Amino acid sequence: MSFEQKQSPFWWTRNPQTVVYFLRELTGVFIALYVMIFLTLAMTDATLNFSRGIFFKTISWIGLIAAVIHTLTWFWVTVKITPVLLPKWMQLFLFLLLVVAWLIGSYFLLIFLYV
Amino acid sequence: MATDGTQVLTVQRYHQEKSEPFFQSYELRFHEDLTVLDALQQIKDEQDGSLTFRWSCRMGICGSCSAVVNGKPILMCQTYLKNIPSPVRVTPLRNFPIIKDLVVDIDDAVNKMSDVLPYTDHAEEKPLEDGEYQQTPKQRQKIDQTSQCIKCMLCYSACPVYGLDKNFIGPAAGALAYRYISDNRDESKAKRMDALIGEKGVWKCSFVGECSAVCPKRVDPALALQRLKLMGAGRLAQKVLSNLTEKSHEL
Repeated sequence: MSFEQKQSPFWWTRNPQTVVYFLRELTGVFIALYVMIFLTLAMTDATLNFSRGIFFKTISWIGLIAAVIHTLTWFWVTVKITPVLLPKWMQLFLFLLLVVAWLIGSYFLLIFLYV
Repeated sequence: MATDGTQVLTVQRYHQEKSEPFFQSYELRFHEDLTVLDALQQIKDEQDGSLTFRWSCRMGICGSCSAVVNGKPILMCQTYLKNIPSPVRVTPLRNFPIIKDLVVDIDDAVNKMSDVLPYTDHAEEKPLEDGEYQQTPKQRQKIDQTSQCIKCMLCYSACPVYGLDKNFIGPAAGALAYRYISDNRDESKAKRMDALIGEKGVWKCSFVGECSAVCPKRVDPALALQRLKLMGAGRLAQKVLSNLTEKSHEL
């Protein structure tokens, strides 16, 4: 008879990488919450006056921080999971390249859609 | 980390007569070239013949001597004791039932690997006089990485998704499937893909990435699974379209 090993509910604390993974997945919840709250409020107030209130500003900051963490950790995973083992400096370079591309993309989205 | 003299190694043990695994510490002669596997063999030869673990080639090829050392799944023959911070604790691979001490039952993962049809399949065998099924260097390059898998099961041990849900096909089987799907000589891509896009397929992978981080051969199962997801989505769309076309013909 063999012994069945059970996975601990705290498996994600066993190394820093899995903690980052868990944090990345958790930020998705805050991003979804922000979108849901925004859409619910926007349905009842088409003038978006609610966006000046402290509640919505707090929610927006939480959503923004979550989105930034989510994006940066995904970029970091992307450079880690490559078909060939890249040296550390190359991983960092690719990561910075992705961040720059993201910032440029965000800038143009802001200019063309919102300003 | 000791530099000479002795070192204490703690090993998780399990006998079927006992209900729970327990830890046992051994003091052994330490030298710079001692791997974890060497250390276990020294213990087995000199102190405790009942200590049970798998090993074979001692050079990182066979994938038999997998274990978890200080929380990290590794090949014991490739890991030097001098590089591991003390205290050193050796436990069996996670996510598999323990048979005895460090020996685990890997049948489930092996069966999953055979479920993905790990062989090149030809719809019609060509006669011998037509020669070999050829491959260009570029075509070979596509499967080079995933062909390196030695079935050591470190990826299954590191995968929290497999730990939670044994229905998940798992990293090595995914990498193996990708290897044969990407092989230009194979003609069973659709059949293999259909096995991968079902309930037990690739969708459960949430891209923790630990499988690739622990892989001693840089097979990168996480990448293979993400690519299979893309291929699977294409295959599903293809199936929906062909169903719709069939129904429109019937009407």
